[in-house]
Amino acid sequence: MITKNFSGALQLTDLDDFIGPSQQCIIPMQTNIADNSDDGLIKLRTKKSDKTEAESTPKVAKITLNDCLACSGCITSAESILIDQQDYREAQRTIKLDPNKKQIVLSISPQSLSSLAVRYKLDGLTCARRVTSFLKTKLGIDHVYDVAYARNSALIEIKNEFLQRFQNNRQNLPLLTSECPGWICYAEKTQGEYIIPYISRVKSPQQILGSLVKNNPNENIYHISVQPCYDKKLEASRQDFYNEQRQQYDIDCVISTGEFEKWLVEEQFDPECSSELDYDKPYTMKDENDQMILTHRGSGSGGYLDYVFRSAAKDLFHIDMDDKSLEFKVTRNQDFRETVLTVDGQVQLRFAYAYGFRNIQNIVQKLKRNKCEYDFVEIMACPSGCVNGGGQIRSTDVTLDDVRRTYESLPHLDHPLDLRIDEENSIPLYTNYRAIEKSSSNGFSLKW
Amino acid sequence: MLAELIELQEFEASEDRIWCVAWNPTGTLLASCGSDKVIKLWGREDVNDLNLAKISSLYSGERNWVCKSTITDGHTRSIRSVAWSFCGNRLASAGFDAKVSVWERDGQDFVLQTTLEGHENEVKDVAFSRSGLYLATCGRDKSVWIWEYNEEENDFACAAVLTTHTQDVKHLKWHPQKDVRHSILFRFSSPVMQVLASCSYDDTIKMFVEDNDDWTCASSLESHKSTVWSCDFDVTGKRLVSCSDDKTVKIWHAYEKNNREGIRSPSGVYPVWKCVCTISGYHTQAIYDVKWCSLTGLIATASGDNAIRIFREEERQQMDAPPSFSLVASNTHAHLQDVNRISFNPKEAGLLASCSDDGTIKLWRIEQRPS
Repeated sequence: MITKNFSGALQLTDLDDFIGPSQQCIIPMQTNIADNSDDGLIKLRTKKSDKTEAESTPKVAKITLNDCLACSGCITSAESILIDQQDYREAQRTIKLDPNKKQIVLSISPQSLSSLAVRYKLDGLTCARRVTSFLKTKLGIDHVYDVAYARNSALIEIKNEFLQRFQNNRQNLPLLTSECPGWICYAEKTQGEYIIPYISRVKSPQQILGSLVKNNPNENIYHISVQPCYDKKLEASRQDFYNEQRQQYDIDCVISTGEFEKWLVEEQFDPECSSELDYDKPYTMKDENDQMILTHRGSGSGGYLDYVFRSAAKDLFHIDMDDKSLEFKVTRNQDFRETVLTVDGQVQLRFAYAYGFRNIQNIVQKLKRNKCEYDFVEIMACPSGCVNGGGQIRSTDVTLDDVRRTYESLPHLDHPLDLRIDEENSIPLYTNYRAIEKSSSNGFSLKW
Repeated sequence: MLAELIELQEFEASEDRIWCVAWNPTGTLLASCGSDKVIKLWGREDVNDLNLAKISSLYSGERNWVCKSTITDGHTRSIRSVAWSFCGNRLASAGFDAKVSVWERDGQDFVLQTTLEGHENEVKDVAFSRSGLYLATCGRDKSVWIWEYNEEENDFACAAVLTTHTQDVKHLKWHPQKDVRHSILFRFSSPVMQVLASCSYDDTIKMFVEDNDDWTCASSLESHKSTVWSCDFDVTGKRLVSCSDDKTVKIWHAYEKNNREGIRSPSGVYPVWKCVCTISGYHTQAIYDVKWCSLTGLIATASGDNAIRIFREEERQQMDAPPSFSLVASNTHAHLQDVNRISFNPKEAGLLASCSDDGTIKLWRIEQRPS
């Protein structure tokens, strides 16, 4: 089976629940039409001849991730074109060629950390500390940060967003999470206007951290983000996250866990080497004993449902769920589970996890038919969510169960930290989505 | 020739191409669809409505099929395919408008029950599983979708999106073995494995099975040199016939695990399908459809060379000799243009329907002569 890299709405080498690039990329074709002083005739072929007859090969056009985001041609794109734009070798080059001018920052997501820890047979904390030490002492990376730090803000904002909508006559509920760029890409490209009002406008932790790190205009920073997901490359390339003043994106390079591991192997990282360092302040979380905390309570996809559900129970219905674990009912399959808050026999809140493309479909269809009974849905394109992201290490000795267990055993916070980003240094925590119109040129490449 | 293909009746069904014809399970209604975005249902004219003279003329030639009803409001572009549920009370249609419509019988009429959206673009085929629990769809977006019926909601929900094919998926066929509705008891024991076959522009046929609460590709049948347009199981489900743009028809045999022949299955669990016979040299153009009659064992093909051909399996002299098929009847001018689909009546042995780019539907009777 061909290994497709982007999740789109994901793919794993061993699972079929994935949308691959759906057709040939149409951007080069459009370029061809524009550049070519052709006679403008459409070339006809016989109705069922699948093979196109002697069509002139379009000129190869350079396609950026941004072009892909703006195109409705396919859901995710020809990864071969895209990967070379955000490749770990690109990061390597930047570090080696430019050792003094730029501050090199690398931030690690907790899901990537869990995958690496399983690979190196370490616990999460030790793995984080050894990798950090190696990056800083051997690779000349200036700062290593924790993506989960920025998740504190994402969690609090999405809770605020939910409470606001709920109290505003349940307007635009269900609130659909926006952390997953595969899902966002799918929603914008194929679902159009009706779905967008439901999607949380809170930026993902990657992009919040990106804004925080580059908040100081006097520093020249190159920011690498290690993620369990190839689609995060697409997210980082959104025009919304381009800083006009700096002429730079907030995140310069996203590399998948698998790519990061390849890089570490090339640089001869030794997991046995006992040199250890914590993630750098200020973008790391610590407990009272100065021990690192690496994640939040709840799902391996960020714990959005968990935190918003508990907060809503408390703030809206004065029910303290803090010591209870949430009970889930499996609906259609393991990746579609729901939990309810019942007050005096009445269901007041209905929240769901919908992971994987098939379950995204079911949520989207329910919404379209006005039959969606949920108030909040944690949506992820990958089956089993981000711990099983398309960019995680694929190897027989790194199983999903182990990665999930490692993630669950990371030191975690029950409540996100209220970061109180002060006015002066405030960064935007919200973003926007837009429906991408179906390109009419699709019609020309029909194959029956 | 050992049989004769007799034209019974011709309908000028449309100004446009007719893509598909399908008999209902009792063989009393024939559904058709095509580029005119219309679904038509054809049935025998009621005897009560006829005068005696007409009756006698009709009975001599069996030319008593008429259009009984027309469904016009389902799709905004060509309807590529229609399929019946095995209970006969549902009809599904696949449209180039990326939609799948499911129609429910309401007296003599069919009314829209639900529209399934999810395919990115042209939907090419649709098929109900034996129990009606599952509906499979496929299309140009290279994917095969499996929808599960939910009785409470009287609607279908997406159970799987399978992207194993690397190109346009043309045709779907469920294994004839009866599937069992899920109950708590059967949920984990799963007594009968569901199998779905799909044919593609990537030149392969793939078999999908239900596995835990997901679906996976259990085998890929690779031998055709070009687009596989269609396939059909024999009545036992142990063999499959396929047809292709490469102008051949192939017969495949399923070797279960621990088979006598000692053929190993790569997965160790699922049967392995091997091509045991290739029928070539008869068709001069792409073969768009093939059907294996469950009543007579005959194989019929529909081709881009305007012909319908009927093949019969020859009796084997030795038990383990490979199967062979001979052409027993054909009409090389069956239609004026490409023959797109054929369908054996499931109750009346030898009754066959065909449809074509020429806008007509024809009914045929195959008369076999004793050899």
